[in-house]
Amino acid sequence: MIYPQHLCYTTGHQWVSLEAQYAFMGITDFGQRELGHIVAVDIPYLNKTLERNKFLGSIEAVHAVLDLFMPFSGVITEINPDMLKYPGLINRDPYDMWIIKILVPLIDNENLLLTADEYHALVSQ
Amino acid sequence: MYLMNKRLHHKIAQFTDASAIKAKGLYPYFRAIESGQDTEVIIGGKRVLMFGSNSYLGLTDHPKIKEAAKKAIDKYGTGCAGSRFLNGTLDIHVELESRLASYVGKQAAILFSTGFQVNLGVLSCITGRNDYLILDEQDHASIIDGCRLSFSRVIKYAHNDMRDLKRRLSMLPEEAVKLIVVDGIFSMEGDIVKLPEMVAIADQYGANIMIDDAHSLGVIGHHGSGTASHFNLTDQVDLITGTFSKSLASLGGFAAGDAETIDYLKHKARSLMFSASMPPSAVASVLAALDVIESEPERIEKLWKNTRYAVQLMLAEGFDLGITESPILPIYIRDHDKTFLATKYLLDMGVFVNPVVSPAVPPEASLLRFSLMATHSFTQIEEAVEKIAIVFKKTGVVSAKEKNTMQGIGHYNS
Ligand SMILES: Cc1ncc(COP(=O)(O)O)c(C=O)c1O
Repeated sequence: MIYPQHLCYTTGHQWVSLEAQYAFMGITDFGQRELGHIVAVDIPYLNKTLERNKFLGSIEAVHAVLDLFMPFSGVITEINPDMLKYPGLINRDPYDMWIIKILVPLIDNENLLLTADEYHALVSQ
Repeated sequence: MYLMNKRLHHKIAQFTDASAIKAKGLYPYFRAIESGQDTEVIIGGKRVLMFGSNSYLGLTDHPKIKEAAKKAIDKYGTGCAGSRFLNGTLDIHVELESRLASYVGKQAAILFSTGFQVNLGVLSCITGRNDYLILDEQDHASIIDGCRLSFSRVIKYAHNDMRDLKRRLSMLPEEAVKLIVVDGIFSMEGDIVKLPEMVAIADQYGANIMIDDAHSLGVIGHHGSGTASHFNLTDQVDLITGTFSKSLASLGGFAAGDAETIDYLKHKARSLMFSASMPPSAVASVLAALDVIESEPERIEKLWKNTRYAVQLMLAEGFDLGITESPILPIYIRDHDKTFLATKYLLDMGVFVNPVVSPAVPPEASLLRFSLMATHSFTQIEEAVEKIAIVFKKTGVVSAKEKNTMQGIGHYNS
């Protein structure tokens, strides 16, 4: 399985790509395999400010559902329209199919994101 | 014949604030720069690191922009000798207006000669006697002055407090026009308007929104196109205004909105109709700056990397940075005299920052305003932060070093 080094990860199988102002978030290769064939994604909080660790939406697969949580406090400013139309694309290319775009806080008191190595260690347990 | 006394001079002499600071040798204003507005400037023959500029993208020295300004002088001369309304409209004014409209995602735009005049012109005419202008208490002076020229009632809500905004809107009559006027990025605190919440409240209470993007253009949003774009809420904002005196390397300002509103402003805004238009070189500079912003997107990226790097260093030093969300970093000193003293020591050591003291902010919120440019190097940022730390020790500014668990998100190493 692949865990690109330039991404950050959460214990909930989400990856986060931090750019200078924005972050893109999706689910990891491990996450999509555990879920199986994804059929729908529901993100009810567009343009809402959500606190860290707050529920932000869910991914529905044929036999399972994965809840998604905010990796840090911020506003969801975009939901990937391609991903909404064809959620199955997440299975094919989990690191390309971002799910949401979030504004990244400039000052954050606790950075709880995992590095690629830390996430790898977590899922290999 | 009895001669009355002339009173003006006596009145003026009552003002002693500036002379008092001058007497202490701490006067920090009107410092003459003997070079271009770059990351390093020359003051008093000495090299000084510039961390007090609003030229966020560092474009005032860009060769393409300087070239465009020179060419415009060659073609159109140095001035327009009149207002846009009468003889002062050039084809490049019209070109810049349509360029700006599409840049910020609105139907039309109108140029003014400064950002200050935008707010004076727009706010004085856009609402009427029984209407309401609703301001954030930290809005820029030009918004306050524009509202003074308006016949509408002016209401202020607590800074970026959306609950207070909602409470105040809920008390206003349904049939009145209600316009919320707010800075996109606040010029002293560096925080960003809570636009998603504001849009929801404005929808509920039938209020319109005008954003002053003076400090947001070139900084946030798609290709730096401002606050509405940053939140992906362009259609929910009625009027977007801005200035060319910061990221856009020139002088002048604009308002953008639907075609009908812009046409109204063209025939009602007195600071537009009765003041001469932007000179050709200034117009051409803005057009060229927009080209550069679009063709060199790495500048905005670098501005944000610099900002994150500075935040990281400052938090490690224990500086009190408040709630900033932008390249404007308020370093709180919370003491009037120490703020002036620190500014002076820093200039002596070759670092330019701006002191912000009362009445601009309450005395316990005195701060050094430290602003980043895309063209700063990490070495320059390190030098400035080190020197600020030294000066804070020397002036007895207490740092919050015990809070050293604080960390910025993301680490940029080059
Ligand atoms: C929020 C805001 N609006 C307007 C202005 C005025 O812009 P200008 O320098 O073009 O007059 C400024 C700049 O000081 C500002 O910070």
